[in-house]
Amino acid sequence: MSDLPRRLELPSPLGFALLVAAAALVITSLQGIGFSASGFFSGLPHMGRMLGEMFPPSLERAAPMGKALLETFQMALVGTVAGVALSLPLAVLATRHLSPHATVYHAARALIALFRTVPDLVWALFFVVAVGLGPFAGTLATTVDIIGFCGRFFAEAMEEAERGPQEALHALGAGRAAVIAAAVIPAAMPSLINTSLFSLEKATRSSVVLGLVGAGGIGIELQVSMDLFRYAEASAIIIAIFILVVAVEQCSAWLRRRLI
Amino acid sequence: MSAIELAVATPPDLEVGGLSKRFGRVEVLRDVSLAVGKGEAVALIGANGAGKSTLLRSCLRLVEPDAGRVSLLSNDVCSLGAGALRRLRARVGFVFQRHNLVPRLPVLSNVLHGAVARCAGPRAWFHEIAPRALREEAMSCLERVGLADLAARRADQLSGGQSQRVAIARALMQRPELMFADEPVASLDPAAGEEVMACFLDLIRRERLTLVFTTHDLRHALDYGDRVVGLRGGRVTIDAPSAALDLPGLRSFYE
Repeated sequence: MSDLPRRLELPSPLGFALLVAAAALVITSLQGIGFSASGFFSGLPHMGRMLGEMFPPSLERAAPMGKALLETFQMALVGTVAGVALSLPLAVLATRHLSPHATVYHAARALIALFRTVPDLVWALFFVVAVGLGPFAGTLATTVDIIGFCGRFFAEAMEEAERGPQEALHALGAGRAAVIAAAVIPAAMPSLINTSLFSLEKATRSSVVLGLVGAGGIGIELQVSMDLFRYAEASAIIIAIFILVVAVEQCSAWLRRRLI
Repeated sequence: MSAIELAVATPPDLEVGGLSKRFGRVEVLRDVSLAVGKGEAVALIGANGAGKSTLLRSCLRLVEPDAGRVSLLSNDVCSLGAGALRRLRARVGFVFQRHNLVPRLPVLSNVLHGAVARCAGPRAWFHEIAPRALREEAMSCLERVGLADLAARRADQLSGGQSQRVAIARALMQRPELMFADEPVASLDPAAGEEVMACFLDLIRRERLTLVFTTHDLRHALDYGDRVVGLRGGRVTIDAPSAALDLPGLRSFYE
């Protein structure tokens, strides 16, 4: 008889030790964050009261809210456009077979990794110090965040672009620029469009919170409303954010269908 | 002047001497020597992995040979700098087995790419921004392969035979002096293959172009080649005028 796949087995001693260690890690982490079930349940009435006060949402400050919402979208839009535009050349340098030199390739990869791994809120703190409070700092933070995101995916798309057409262009005497523009980018285009539209959605969501560190947008409005216990105002802001994010997502889905 | 005297008087378009290339531990080309005269059509035959494609690619340094020399249109290929190499490549058409068109671009842009090396800047990258004269030349190249009505179609919406014709038009756009073709019809069904091959060879003869092509179709080798060169294990083992060869003899070469 051929081998039957085995039944569930007891783990080996080493496997068992690892399981115990993982469980211990979760339990100490629960202690570390001060988890308390009683705290959660005693907090429920507060949450209920807060929710009650949130409705109906107050439109008293509709005008400044609208302005902040528009600013949030503008930060996301400009940050995305600048980020995508800067990502393209950086991604070319970070694509192994297109990069002019191995050192340049590794430097470009390292820069993209740095932009990607440092969270956007940290970049916002940095730019608030560098250029002052306001949406410009937020836009710069968004730009850097988008470069980290797009740079990586653009480079991957270019790396995966079909090599045959590139070889054909080399064979007929094309230089690097022509090969990139006429063969690599057209091949990677669906992926580039997709990533760019996704960045716009991502940038919109992150622009909302950048206000919390003073980098412009609607985040600061939300924080002020919460700090002053104006929950009805806060709920209006949350609904406005929801509408903005959903609208951007819908537009980007529509564009994606049209363009790809 | 007779053809033989002419061949003596003009230097060969392609002269390969002692060419060797290895990929890792595999010796793909071993001491290959070959000369192709002006206007000659040479068929390269040999089993898969015999080194045919590598030989063609080495002549344009799409693959860097390890040793040996290549003289192409009176240029010492191995000593050329990047710019001179590009200018030389522009004078040689190359038709690939897999056509290698840029899939998402229109047919006309793909043909226009043939002019990339002689046009500075992005003028020959996309037909939408190309000057009128270039667009018209690309259109006439398409007409010569009988596909003028497909100029606006995207390259990935063509049949195999159409793609290869467009690739031939792209090579014509280079105004080539010599043409390489690497199994130009191997990816096509037999009917389309015959059609494309006939169209291709007709153009080659009309332009009096020198041609080096690889093929697995021995009948093509005998019909379209003035000379047949056989590679086996990276070495030249046959080099004879096709008039002196026959089909059964060539078949036994593969055994």
